[in-house]
Amino acid sequence: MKIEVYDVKPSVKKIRIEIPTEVVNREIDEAYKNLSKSANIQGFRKGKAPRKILEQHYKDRVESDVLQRIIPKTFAEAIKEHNIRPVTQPNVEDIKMEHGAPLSFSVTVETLPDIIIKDFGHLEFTRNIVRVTDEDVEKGLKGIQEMQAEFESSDDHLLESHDHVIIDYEGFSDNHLVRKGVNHPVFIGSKSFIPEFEERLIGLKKGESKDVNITFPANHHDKELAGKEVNFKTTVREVKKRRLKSIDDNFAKELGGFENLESLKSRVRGDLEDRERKTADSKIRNELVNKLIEMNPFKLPSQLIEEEMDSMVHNTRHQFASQGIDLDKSGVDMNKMRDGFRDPAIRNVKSDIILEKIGEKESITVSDTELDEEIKKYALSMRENFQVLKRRMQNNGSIDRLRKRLLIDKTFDAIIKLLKVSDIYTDRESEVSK
Amino acid sequence: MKDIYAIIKKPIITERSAYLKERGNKIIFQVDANANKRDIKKAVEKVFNVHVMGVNTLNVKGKVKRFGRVFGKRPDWKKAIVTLKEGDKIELLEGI
Repeated sequence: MKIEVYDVKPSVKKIRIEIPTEVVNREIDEAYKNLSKSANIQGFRKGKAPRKILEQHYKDRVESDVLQRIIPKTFAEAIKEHNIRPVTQPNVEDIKMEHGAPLSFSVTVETLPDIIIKDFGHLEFTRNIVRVTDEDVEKGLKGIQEMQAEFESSDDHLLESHDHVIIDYEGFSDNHLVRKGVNHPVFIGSKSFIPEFEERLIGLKKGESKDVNITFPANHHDKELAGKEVNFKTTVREVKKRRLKSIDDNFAKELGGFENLESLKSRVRGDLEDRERKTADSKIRNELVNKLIEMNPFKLPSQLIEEEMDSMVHNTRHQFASQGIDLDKSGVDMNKMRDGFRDPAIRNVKSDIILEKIGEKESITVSDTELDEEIKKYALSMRENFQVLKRRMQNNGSIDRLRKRLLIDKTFDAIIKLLKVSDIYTDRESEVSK
Repeated sequence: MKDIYAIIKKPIITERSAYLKERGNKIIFQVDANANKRDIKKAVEKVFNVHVMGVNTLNVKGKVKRFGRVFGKRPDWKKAIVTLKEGDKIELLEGI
C-alpha cells in the first residue's frame, strides 16, 4: 500500500492511497465467491454460474461493494500510520479502479491543527478554600436536627412555626367556592402552601376554626387566583407539635455509626470541608482552562464547533425534557439559543483538545478497570445492571466519550500536581465581600 | 430460408451450454423452427465468421401452462447445438 500525504491547508490534509493489484483482486475474488452462492441467474443453479457470467451481471455491484469495504479499511490504516486525526467526515474522491491495475483514490480530511502545548509548569494558582467555622458546623448540625425532628399529636398545643397541621379549608372569592381541601397537611413555615396563610394559622389549636382573608398578588402563578381576595374558611383537624431532639451524644448515636457528639461534629466538619475544597478545585480548573486556552491559541475547524453547539442544544433540550418542559413548545428561540452557545462551545472543544494533548504528552491513560469502575458507579445510580449498561454503552459509542472524559479528568489532576498551587484559607465573609 | 440473419434467434446460456462450450466448443442457439441443419451451418459461419464442424438440432415442445381455467401453450421452438472448429470462437458470446 502506497500512501502519500499532502497538506492542502494547515488543517486540511489530502491523502492519496494506492492499493496493489493483488490485494484488490483478492478482495474481488472473495466478493464473487460470496456472491455466487446467492446469485440468481437464469439457466444456472445457485453457485453454479461461472465467474464470467457473474461478472456480466454483477460487475458494478461487486466493484462498489469492494470499494466500500476496502476504502474505509485502508483509510483507517493510513491515518494510523501517519498519525492523522481526522475531525470531520472524510471526503473520498478520484477513485480509479481498473482491471489489473492498482486501485487508487484520495481522501481529503480536516484535521486538528498541530498544536504544540506551551510549557505550563511555571503557572501558579491560588486555591481559595473557604474555612469551615464552628458556626458552619453548628448550622449543619441544626439541619440534621430538623430533619430528625419528631412530630406528636397534641390537643391543646397552640400552633407555632415549624409545626405540622392538618386542615380542612374552603376558599371563597366573591361568594364563589374557588378552592377546597380536606385533610390537607401543612408544615407551618415551610412556605409550601401559601406563606401568608401559613403564618395566619399560628396560635390556633385543634378543633378551632378561623376565617383567613388572603389577597393574592397580581403575579401569582395561578391565573385563577391572581390579584383576588379569597376568604378561606379553615378548620384545624389535627395539630402535630414538632419536638426537636437535643443535640448530644445520644443524638449522634441514634443517627447511627457515631460514638458521640464529637465524632458526628467532625464528620459534619469533614463533609463541609470536602465540599469547600471541591468548589475551590472546580474554580481552579476553570482558571487553568482559561489560561491554557489563552496560552495556546489555535484555530478550530468550524465543523467541530458546529457539532459541539448542536450537542449542547441537544443536552439542554434533554435536561428540560427531564423536568417535563418541552423547549420546542415553550417559545424559546432555538436558533438564538444555539448561537449563544458558540463561545462556550469553542471553549469546550478547545479545552478538550488541549487537555487531551497534554494527556498524551504525559502519557496518561485510562485503564479498562478504571472505566469499569466508573460504569459501575453509573449503573448503581441508575439502578441498572452493570453488564447491560456496559453493553449498551459499547453499542451506542458513549463508552468512548466516557473514556475521553475520564482521561481529561485524570489529565487535569496530573496537571494540578505539576503546578504550584498554594492554598489560602479565607473566611466566608471575605468571600462574600469579594 | 432466404434471410440467414433471421435464422439464429438467440444463444441459450445455461449450465449445460457452458459445460458444452468448455468441453467441445459447442454453442447452443435457439433457431427458426423451419431452418434445417445446412441453413444453420451457413448462417452461423456467415454471421459469426467461424467454421462449423457439425450441427445437431432438436425440436423443443412448448410447455402447456394453465392459469386458472385457462389453458395455454408456449410456442414450440428448435434448438441447435453447433460444434465449432477447434480454436474458433464467437467473440460476442465470450464471457457471457
